[in-house]
Amino acid sequence: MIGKKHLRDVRAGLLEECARAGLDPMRWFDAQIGKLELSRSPNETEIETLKLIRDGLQSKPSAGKRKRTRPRSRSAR
Amino acid sequence: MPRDRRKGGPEPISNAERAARLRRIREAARRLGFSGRLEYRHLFSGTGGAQFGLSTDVNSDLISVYAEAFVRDADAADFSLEAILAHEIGHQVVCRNARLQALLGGRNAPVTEEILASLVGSVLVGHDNERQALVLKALDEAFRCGIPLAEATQLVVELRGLVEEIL
Repeated sequence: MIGKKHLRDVRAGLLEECARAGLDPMRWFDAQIGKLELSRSPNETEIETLKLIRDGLQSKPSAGKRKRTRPRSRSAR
Repeated sequence: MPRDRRKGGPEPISNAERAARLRRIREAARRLGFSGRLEYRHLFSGTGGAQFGLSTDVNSDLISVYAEAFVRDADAADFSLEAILAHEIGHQVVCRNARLQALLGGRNAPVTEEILASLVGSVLVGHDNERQALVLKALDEAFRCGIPLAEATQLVVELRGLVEEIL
């Protein structure tokens, strides 16, 4: 179950924790991404995951109704 | 404004709307690679929108989708129907994959089925905003297990790498 917590509250809680830990989330995630990109064998999935978290934390979806668009096709696993 | 659980059930819908909802669920679930049965129940469940049920074989597994999934989907700032379904399909994948099962528990960190279900879902969905939503959901779960945020981030990053490799 995905649970009842609104995505807005998930994001706000994580940002609050970043602030409590004294982290500037964008700088911190950029630094982590930079470290991975400079490593000898960068793992693309790990870099993508850090970017998803960074971008997800700073995304501000507009209030109101969702616009539905066609998703990118991806083969079933 | 939709009525919530405390004030009663969802607003009534027509048979045509009910059929349209089920059709949309089926299309999205097939696109995400779900094998099994799907149902739409026009009631508020308290699950957040959907629930996975493990059966004796993969084709008999069941995902029940509830009215609140559509209430949340209509809100651009909340989880979409596709993200909700992808999370539930993530449960099916975790339950039926021995290598993913082996990650549960974790030697050094609490790896829960909820974390893995969201990460599997984030690999299956097609839109970046749904991937972001499910990765944030996994991070929130890990953090709520009591792991400091930096370590929780590291755990989620490593697990998603493993999930991608396993799938």
